[in-house]
Amino acid sequence: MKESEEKLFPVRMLRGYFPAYDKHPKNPTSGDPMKVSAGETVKLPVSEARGLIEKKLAERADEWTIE
Amino acid sequence: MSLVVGTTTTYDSNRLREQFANVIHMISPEECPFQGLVERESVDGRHPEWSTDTLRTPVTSNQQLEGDDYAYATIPATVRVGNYTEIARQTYLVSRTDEKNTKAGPKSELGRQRRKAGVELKTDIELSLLANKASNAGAVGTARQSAGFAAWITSNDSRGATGGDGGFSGGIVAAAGNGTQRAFTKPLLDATILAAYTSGGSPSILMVSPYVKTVFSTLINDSALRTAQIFNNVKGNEQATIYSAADTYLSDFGVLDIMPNRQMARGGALSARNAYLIDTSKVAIGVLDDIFEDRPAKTGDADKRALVTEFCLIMKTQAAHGIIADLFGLTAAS
Repeated sequence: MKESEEKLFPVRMLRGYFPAYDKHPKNPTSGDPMKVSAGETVKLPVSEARGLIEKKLAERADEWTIE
Repeated sequence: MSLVVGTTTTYDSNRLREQFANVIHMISPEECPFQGLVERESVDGRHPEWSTDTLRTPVTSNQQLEGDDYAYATIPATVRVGNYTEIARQTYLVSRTDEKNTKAGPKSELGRQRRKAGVELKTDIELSLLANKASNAGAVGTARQSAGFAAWITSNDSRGATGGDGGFSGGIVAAAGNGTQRAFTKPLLDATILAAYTSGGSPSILMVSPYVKTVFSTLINDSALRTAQIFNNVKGNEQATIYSAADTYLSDFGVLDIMPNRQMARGGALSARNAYLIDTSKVAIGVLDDIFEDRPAKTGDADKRALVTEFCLIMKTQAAHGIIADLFGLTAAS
């Protein structure tokens, strides 16, 4: 992995969320981040994922992840 | 210029009446458009609940055999949601002497304060109904709280980066998480209208802060959006009118009235940052006790009063509405 690449961590959203991660898909018309709905899993930079887990907005989803 | 010696002027008089107007001028706006838009319903308790339901997704595979025995579908139960009433009040107190004293303007100080308290209470209720605040069942030492409009919406929401849904879950409504603020744009509006329409809603009102209303009106000047030019005929020496505002938006899914709400700006940045797409048939104000004047027993040489009410927001189905959250609601950068 390149030094410059951010390490991503999978989380399962407990509530809908609009990620700040700049590589997350954007709404083609408005340019804002696409919503990740509750129940969906998304990979986010570790710091953002950790913040969501601490706020109980998401839970870890790495248990069954095979890279 | 000179005066004849001995001329009596007003500066010598001891008999001039004071010129103190009988009118009190107040700038603060009183209108509460949200309360004027939606219906009021009586509620019988502090925890009103109601049910929501949705249709299953339509399919193209509903073709059956002739003479076939039926296989029965399991129809999902309705979803039970609710809110809590909150008590709001505004108190005032006037000494017996002040009430008796001759005054300019309103004769009764109690009457003046009653009217002002009523308007202030009404504006508090307006902001509370729209606010991004969670519901709270309350306790002996904790005030009950009604979840506001912004907290309910989870289906048709546009939020800035790091913004998160609130919504009903486990008996309470959580507040939404604020995201990074951004400017109001036509694509944000179109995307939220589309989401609300697809969900089954028919919003007819976009309620915004006054600043966002001015941003909306700039859409008529945006050549990139190919908005129709507005002209008017000027006859003879008539003065021309500059058209610089728009109050209506004809979207792909119906007409929206754009309604500025001054209380959203008066409430500050947290109140001004959301734009609400409202289907007025799918939201109401639940009233357990309408505003009344309480007159507590006198304990001194003054009259005590309190205007009190208990109410909540009845969000009949949140998926009928939409919200464009995290907007710059006061200025281009706040």
